[in-house]
Amino acid sequence: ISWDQPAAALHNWIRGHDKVPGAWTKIDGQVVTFYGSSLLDDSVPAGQELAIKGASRPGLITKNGLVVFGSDGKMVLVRNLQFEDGKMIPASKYFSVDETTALELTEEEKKMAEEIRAIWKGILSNIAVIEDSTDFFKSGASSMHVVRMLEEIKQKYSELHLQNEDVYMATKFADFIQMAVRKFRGEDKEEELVIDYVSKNVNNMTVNMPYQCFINGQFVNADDGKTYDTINPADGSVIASVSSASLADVDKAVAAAKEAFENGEWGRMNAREIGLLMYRLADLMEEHQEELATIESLDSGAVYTLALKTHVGMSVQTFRYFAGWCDKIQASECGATIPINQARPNHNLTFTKKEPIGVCAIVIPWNYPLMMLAWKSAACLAAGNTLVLKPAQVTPLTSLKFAELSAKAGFPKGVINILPGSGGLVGQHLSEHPDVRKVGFTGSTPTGKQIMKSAATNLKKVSLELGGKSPLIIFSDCELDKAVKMGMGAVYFNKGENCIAAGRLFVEESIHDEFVTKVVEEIKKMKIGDPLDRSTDHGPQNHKAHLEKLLQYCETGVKEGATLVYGGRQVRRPGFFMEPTVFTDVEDHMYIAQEESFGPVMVISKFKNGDIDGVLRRANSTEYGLASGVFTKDISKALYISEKLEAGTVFINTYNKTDVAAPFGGFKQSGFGKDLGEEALHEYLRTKAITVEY
Amino acid sequence: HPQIFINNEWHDSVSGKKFAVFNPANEEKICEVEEGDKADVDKAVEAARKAFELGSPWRTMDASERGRLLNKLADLVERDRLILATMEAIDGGKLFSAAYLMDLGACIKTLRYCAGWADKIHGRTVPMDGNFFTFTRHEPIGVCGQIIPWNFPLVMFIWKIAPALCCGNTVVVKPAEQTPLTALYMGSLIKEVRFPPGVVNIVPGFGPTAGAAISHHMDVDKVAFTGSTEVGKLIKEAAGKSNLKRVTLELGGKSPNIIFADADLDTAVEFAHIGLFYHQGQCCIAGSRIFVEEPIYDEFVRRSIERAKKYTLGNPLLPGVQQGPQIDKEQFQKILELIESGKKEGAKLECGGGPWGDKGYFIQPTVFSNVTDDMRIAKEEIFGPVQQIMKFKTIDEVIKRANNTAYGLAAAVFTKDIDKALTFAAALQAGTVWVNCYSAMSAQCPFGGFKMSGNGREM
Repeated sequence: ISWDQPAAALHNWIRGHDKVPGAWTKIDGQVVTFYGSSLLDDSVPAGQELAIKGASRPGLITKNGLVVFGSDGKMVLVRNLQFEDGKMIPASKYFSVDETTALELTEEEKKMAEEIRAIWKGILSNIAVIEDSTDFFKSGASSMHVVRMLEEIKQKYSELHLQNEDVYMATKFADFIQMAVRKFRGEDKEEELVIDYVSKNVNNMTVNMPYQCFINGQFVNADDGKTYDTINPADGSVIASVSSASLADVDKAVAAAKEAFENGEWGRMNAREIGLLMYRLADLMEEHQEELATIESLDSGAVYTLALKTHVGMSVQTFRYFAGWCDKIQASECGATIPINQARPNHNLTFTKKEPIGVCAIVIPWNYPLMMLAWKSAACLAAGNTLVLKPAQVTPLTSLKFAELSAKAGFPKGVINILPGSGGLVGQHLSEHPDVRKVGFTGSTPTGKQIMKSAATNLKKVSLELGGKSPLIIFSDCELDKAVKMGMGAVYFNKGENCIAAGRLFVEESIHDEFVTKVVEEIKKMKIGDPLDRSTDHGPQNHKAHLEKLLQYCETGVKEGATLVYGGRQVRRPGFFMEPTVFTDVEDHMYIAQEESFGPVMVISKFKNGDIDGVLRRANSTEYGLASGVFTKDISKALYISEKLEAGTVFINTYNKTDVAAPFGGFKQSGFGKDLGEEALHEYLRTKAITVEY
Repeated sequence: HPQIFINNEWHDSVSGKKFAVFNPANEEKICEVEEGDKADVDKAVEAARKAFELGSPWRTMDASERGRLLNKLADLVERDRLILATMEAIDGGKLFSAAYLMDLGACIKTLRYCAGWADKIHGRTVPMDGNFFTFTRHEPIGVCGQIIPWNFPLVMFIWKIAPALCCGNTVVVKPAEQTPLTALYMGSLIKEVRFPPGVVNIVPGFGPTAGAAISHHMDVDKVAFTGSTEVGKLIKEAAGKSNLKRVTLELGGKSPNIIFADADLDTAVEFAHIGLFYHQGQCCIAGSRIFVEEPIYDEFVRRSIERAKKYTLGNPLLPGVQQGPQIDKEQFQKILELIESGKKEGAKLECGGGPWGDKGYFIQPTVFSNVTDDMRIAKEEIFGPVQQIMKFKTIDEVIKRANNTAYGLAAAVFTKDIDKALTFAAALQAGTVWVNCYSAMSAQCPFGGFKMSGNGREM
């Protein structure tokens, strides 16, 4: 290593030689080879000085490795060191390696040592006796045998997890045993992720909630130390004080995501390895599903059983589904070779490649906090991007828990960054950030417009999943009980906080009154209460401001002359509960016929018997076009209506039936770009056409 | 597991017959396995048919759940990697290291790859003229018979079952009589994962009996076969004579490997060597006709001989051994006979050329130079560690010679010139063309032949 260079050049030199032959320098008269380098741009960490020959400034042995300085004063962190005798150590152990006293082995561990000795003997069949000083590699073993040895050990001691690297760091038998025993005892874990939690005993369990920004693989306070309270809508209490990300944090997170994309391990990983990470993450989410669902319920007011099945359950499915896509991105319709006209007498060929875009910003709403994260992040990661995600300010907790699980699953640092904070600050800065190449947003139409304007600064790719006022048309030839049940789900599911909620119901005149009666009967059976109670059907609205807006919405409805058949008021109990509400006689010009409520408000209009085209005209006369539905047993009517409805999703004889494999997204001012299904991948990929002449 | 696997249960053969399985490294018997015949195939097909009935657990299972089962199966193969690789080594004469890393690695990847497809098999909607619309559904075919060879017993087993199960079919698999052990072990894993009974059935036995029963069966909807072209023809005939079942065939090859003077010589020698000698030459894609451009011919031959002489032969379980035995006596004798024909017809034997050791079916790594296109060793598939090196002068000449074969499985070209590379990629009549590499395969890439190397694609 020639030391008179800036840090970036040192870093490139060291990693350029990472496998062979290794970049070396002289320390204490000995040749020492450096492995595993990364740039370090924090403040100078604490550590013990180490003189390096030729370097203008001594290095520092820190708890994360050896820090060396470039000629520009910037830092490079080196993870592992190898000495002349071939022995490799974690750089952090430079000063302690010789002092480490040998472990006194227990009887059980002695037995393990003998078994491992037998395994070595089996592999190194050319060596008569395995002694403490026997060196694995000098006895003729190769990388192949490393795998074999570790597998044989794993077979006997399934709880002992050794990596190939561990063998290279302890090549002599005695060292190997010491290392294996340390691992077996669960020592050697100081590099584990440090997480501060807010813990709560609730719902018959302890939930541990990270509350800080997650940047470059670490939980950290906001740069300016600011925090805000996140509230439990069931009783108005404070759950946790959460870091409120600043502009500086956004810049740090984007820089980490950019570094991870351009220079990190992530960019070099095979697609199938990314898939394996995602499968592992899905498994971890499933393992923690009760904890996640409880946090979701506390933070967003989601009914626990629903949170378990939908908010968390579908999130797990989404990660599994997209994990499977990773190694099929070129295999489906994406990558192609295209016969083009020949430039005679030469030949031409065009082939296309699908590439990840780079750093993606994801901004999500508060109605399904974790599921919205999953819908966007899974496709984004499967395509190979890195991301900075801003959860809704009022519901940050499951996103931060997700960050913890992603680190445990083994996602490299910087690939996933989560910044709780305000939309106006964090969301805005992300959508105009010059290093962000794509922004995926789910939320309101006005905010969507603002994001699109901001994205124009560097013309980043945008996908928007916005508001809706989705029509649900119910014909008299339907199965009425099913239509009532599904129609209620279409409105009241997740307290109406559902972007595809049926914002308007058009019911055919001949069954209108019966439909309304049955709906009211069913509402009366709904149990309103503590969302953690397993028998609760209807929980609190997400936050206070939202509840107040809904009450106003109902007032306007009454003022404009619609008939309030049921509800319309706040429930008299602590928390932000709203009665399931039904309006009838709603006319097209009314406010509640045009505007999204995002709450448990059923808006019913009548249509004349048999007037298919009339009801279609009314259903389509909205600037939104997210979802829609029709109930009829007549297949011709069903298909005709599905063709004529201007909406990204049409449900026939069902509602809210979303699935990870089915694309989801709106028409008109409900946005563009799809979540879920194969189509979602294309939102996070760009196509390169390569044309060659030969 | 020495028994027949039907309905997630272990059965003795109906006839009561068994056959012996040998270790080709020392010619010793490993164990005896129940010998499946027509009556056993009938039982297996009946189980597979029942499992495929509308409304059965398998047919009503969510596609994503099929994927979950395949992923779990991959987990178990990973767990039992050591056992399976060891079995593959003693039963198939395969180097343990190759079995452990390459074969088992490919199996696990293939299972996971197919697991991911299960819920992504889309039909289409088709805009039609008039007041109509069409949608297509991609449905499983039904009961699939799958007959696999002995050279990559477990990889072939996985290549066959994973796509079939991913799409929702049920299968009756016949492993090769030489190498039934890993396939039968998979039966126990399939049971452990809890595939519904009858979805996978494994009937060990011989080609003319059990294999013929599958390919002639009136209630088998598709047969997939990997093996020789000769048997491939019999299978297609049987399908035509019985119920016109769908057929995919992955058959023999005599794959050309073309080395230009402008290639990186070290790379070309190494790939050409591995492309032929891997697993004792017992690969359908073996690059067994090496065409070398005149200016570098002598040097290429010299280096190839040097490379071939480096081998340590012996027990494939031992570290340090680089070449194991051929699969059985029949193959062993056939290879020796072809080597003799090469000598007789005037090719120059550069090294090897005979058996090795006093036990087991070992053959010395053999290199022939001055081979001409009319010799038997240049035309027939040898399936052994015998390398043929020919000379060529012009591009047009070598394209014609490379394509002058009934086979069309694989081909390769080594050149630094992008014009030549792309010209050959288009001109070579083969299902796979490698440029500056050989044997590079992956679960994402389709694999299969042109011409008499078969039809249909795997992966």
